[in-house]
Amino acid sequence: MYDSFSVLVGGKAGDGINEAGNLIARLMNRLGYRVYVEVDYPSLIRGGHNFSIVRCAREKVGCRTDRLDVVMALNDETVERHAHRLGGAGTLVIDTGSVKSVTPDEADEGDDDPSDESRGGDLKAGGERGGSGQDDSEEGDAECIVMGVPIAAILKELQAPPVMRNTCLLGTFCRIAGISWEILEDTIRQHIPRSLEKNLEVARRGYEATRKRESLASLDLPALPVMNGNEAVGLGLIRAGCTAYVAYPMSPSTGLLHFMASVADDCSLKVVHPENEIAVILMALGMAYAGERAAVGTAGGGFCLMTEGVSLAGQAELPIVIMVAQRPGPSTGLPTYTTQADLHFVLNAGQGEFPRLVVAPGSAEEAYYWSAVAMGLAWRYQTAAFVLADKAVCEGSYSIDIDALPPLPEYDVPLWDGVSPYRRYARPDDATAAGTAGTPDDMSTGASADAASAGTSGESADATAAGTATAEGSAAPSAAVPPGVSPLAFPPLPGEVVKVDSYEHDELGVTTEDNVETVLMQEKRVRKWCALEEEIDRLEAVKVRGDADAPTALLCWGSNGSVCREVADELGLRMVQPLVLSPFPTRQFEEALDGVERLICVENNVTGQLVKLLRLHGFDVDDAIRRYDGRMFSLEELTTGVKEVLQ
Amino acid sequence: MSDIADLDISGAGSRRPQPAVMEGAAAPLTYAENTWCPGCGNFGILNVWKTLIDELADNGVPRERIVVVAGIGCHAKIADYLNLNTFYSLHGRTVPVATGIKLGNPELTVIAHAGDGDCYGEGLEHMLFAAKRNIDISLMVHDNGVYALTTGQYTPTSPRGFRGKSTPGGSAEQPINPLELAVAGGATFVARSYSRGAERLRQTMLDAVLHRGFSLVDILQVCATFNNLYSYYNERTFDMDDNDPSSRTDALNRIGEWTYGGDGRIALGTFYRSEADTFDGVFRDIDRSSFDREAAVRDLLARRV
Ligand SMILES: Cc1ncc(C[n+]2csc(CCOP(=O)(O)OP(=O)(O)O)c2C)c(N)n1
Ligand code: SF4
Ligand SMILES: [Mg+2]
Repeated sequence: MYDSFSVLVGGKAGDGINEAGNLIARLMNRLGYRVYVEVDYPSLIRGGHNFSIVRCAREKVGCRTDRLDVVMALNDETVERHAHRLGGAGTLVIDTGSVKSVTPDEADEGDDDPSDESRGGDLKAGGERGGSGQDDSEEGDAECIVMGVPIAAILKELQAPPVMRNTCLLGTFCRIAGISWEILEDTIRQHIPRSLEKNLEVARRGYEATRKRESLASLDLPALPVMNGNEAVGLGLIRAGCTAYVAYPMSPSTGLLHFMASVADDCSLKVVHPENEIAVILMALGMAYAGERAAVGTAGGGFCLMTEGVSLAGQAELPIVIMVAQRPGPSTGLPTYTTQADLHFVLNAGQGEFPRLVVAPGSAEEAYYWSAVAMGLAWRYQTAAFVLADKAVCEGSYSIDIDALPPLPEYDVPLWDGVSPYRRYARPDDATAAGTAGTPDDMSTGASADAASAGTSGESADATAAGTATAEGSAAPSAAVPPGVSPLAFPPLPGEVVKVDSYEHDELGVTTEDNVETVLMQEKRVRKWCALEEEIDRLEAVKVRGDADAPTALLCWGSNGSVCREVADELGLRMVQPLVLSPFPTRQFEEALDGVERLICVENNVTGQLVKLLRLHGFDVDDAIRRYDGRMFSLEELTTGVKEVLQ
Repeated sequence: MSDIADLDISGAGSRRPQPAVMEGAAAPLTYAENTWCPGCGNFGILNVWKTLIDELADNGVPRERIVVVAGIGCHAKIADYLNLNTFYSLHGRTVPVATGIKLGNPELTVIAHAGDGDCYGEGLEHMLFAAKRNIDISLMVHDNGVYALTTGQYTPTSPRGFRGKSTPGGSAEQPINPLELAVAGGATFVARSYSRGAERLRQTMLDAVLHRGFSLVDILQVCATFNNLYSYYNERTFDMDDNDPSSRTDALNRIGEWTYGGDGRIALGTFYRSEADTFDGVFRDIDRSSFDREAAVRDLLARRV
């Protein structure tokens, strides 16, 4: 277990718990900590129980610990449900206006300067705190203290609005954590610029209402941006040339729609929220026909409505990126919780056989990188590319360092060379006069620029160039025009027509039921599929972490990547995480399992969807650890689970 | 090695000679064989296109800027026949596809050809929203009162009592009046025409395409095989010459005179016409020429430190 510090803020929906957690995360981030924020809330606007757990460490983290250092309770339920998780020198902070089940301990003179207990560079304040298993609350209960802050009274006295409750909490947290007033003031100035003076006053009162309990030193690490997975997906899409985002709100994907709408002006994005998910995907495909690099996002229920569009993208060979954010089903299920139960749905949605890319990021960094790859490959191969995320990734916030990622690969879009006649579904590989690929540069300078339309394709070409202008050392993409791919062009195209068709069609795009033509087109799509499989093999499609030579491996996908990496590090195991699930990276997976004698698959579903997928590709799994209550594994739970399996 | 397909997909497979392209880029039609039944009203609509292409060019819309979107049904074969940019889409989905194309490139002139089952049944919601948004596309509905391609079932505009293959005892439902819906939704151009009478149809289609905003033309298109209404329409249709297309009330009154069944007289022509902002206008001024993606990403990240 990485040395870390965890704070939980809990209250009713409507109390602004998320915002309080995010503020604490940003503050810790500025001190050089790597943070992870898990938010747990029911599908309600007011009432219910909400909490946010902020975990901070020197290493990158992406899961919660059961063990908490500080609990900040805005209601009795928080005390009841979470206070017992406080470890040895833990602190329970209560809002004395709303928490009645406990009372604050008497202040102990001299408590304010525990300099002898200073954590310094070591996050663990004296003694063994790293318990494992769920029931670790007994040890050191005596040292756990309760502090009270009369939040409502403070706000009333200062005539501050209820939202400033968070600022008060932030002040309280800083004092307890031993973070200086200067740093706090700085953070508030940057992140809460509205009503600055009032906020500072409120924070000051929160700060003064408590005592110092810890001395969280600032680390000598650069502060990183903090982002949730939804935002990171958006950022990756934008980086790779996304020009349009179309979506209908559905948890846990809604954050991506909000993010794209909020940056639309700055990023020249066309953001549309149409009447339903059917319109969403069909509109996006219409945009793609016109040369717009469109993406859509939804959760399982909305994706049900989109499946006809997925198959259309396959047949009409239109590029599209689809983010599917998983939440527990069947049907409406648990809207605001997490799962990994839509893998086979996404792998198989849509009638017929056609290539599709499915990537499954497990953190904000992976979400950024793989969403960019998805956009690049959707356009290079003219088909549907999925970013299969889960609630834990979409709504979890992470410290993100894009410079720590491998350089983004450059994916050229094979463009029409301008030699007439244009055939939207040309099969250059079985034609004698194979068209050569136009690179984006050719498009903007060469004769082909006139041949393709001036407006949209020019923009699209720019987008491609911009989306791929990364440093050297990036994975080299394959040949100019991959097998099965027909060079693209967009209307208007003087003297030519661009015909796309949902029926089987000939090279021009005219419907056909001819048996030979059908075979050739089916095989064209399969050739693209195989080329795509080779393409993903040039990326780190299967991640291996932990002890790469260990004979026991933890296998996982999506958001479980972080918790599995940490458990693997702790227990000396190998961690294997396929990031691409279609086409399945068989070669890399085989390599990743080299020397593995025991394979334990960790998933958030009941039936073992990754296990089933692996079986299809000839791999067997020895043990499975599954959680399907809509919650993520905590570090201690998974550690215990793995130890039990290994016993 | 690959699990994808156990095939020789090297591409060397037998290759059928490609059909000759058209008589030339200027030809209105492709080489696709026409498979509509003799007497089908769809021919009347296709014939209009033969002259419409040049007429649009004369009105500032060169043919390469035209995009035709089709649904699925007999009507939709027009996508194969027309030597124009086409998107042969899905049953019921012409409108979102056409909307996406227009939003993708507002310089294109986008015309959807839909069926009555297609557009008033499978995809009715899209039509209402296109009207609500006043997206600058045109919707030509080949309204034959029947699902023709699936060999004859009742549609949303079939009259009560219609004996189709799925309602052998007669449909128990009232037809909808799609033009009323379009006006209610906010469409800024609403017309009815007939597949017989080339000149009238040509004029209405031209007006609809040139109209700035969402336009609907409900074309009474006779299905000679499954719902032959030639004599019914010939007896009842007439050209309106005394209506006020700028008045919504007048439009709704005139639209209500015939209820897609019964003995009322069937007015043809443009019922309603108004000016309003178009949805595509929202995205017209996006200029990406100086947009630096790497810098934008770094900037967004910096704001989150
Ligand atoms: C989602 C879906 N459902 C059903 C069909 C089958 N289908 C093809 S055409 C058609 C009806 C066509 O009727 P209409 O839209 O009125 O066109 P018409 O053939 O009369 O021109 C149907 C139901 C389909 N292609 N897609
Ligand atoms: S079935 Fe009817 S609509 Fe279809 S081609 Fe024949 S006559 Fe025309
Ligand atoms: Mg019909």
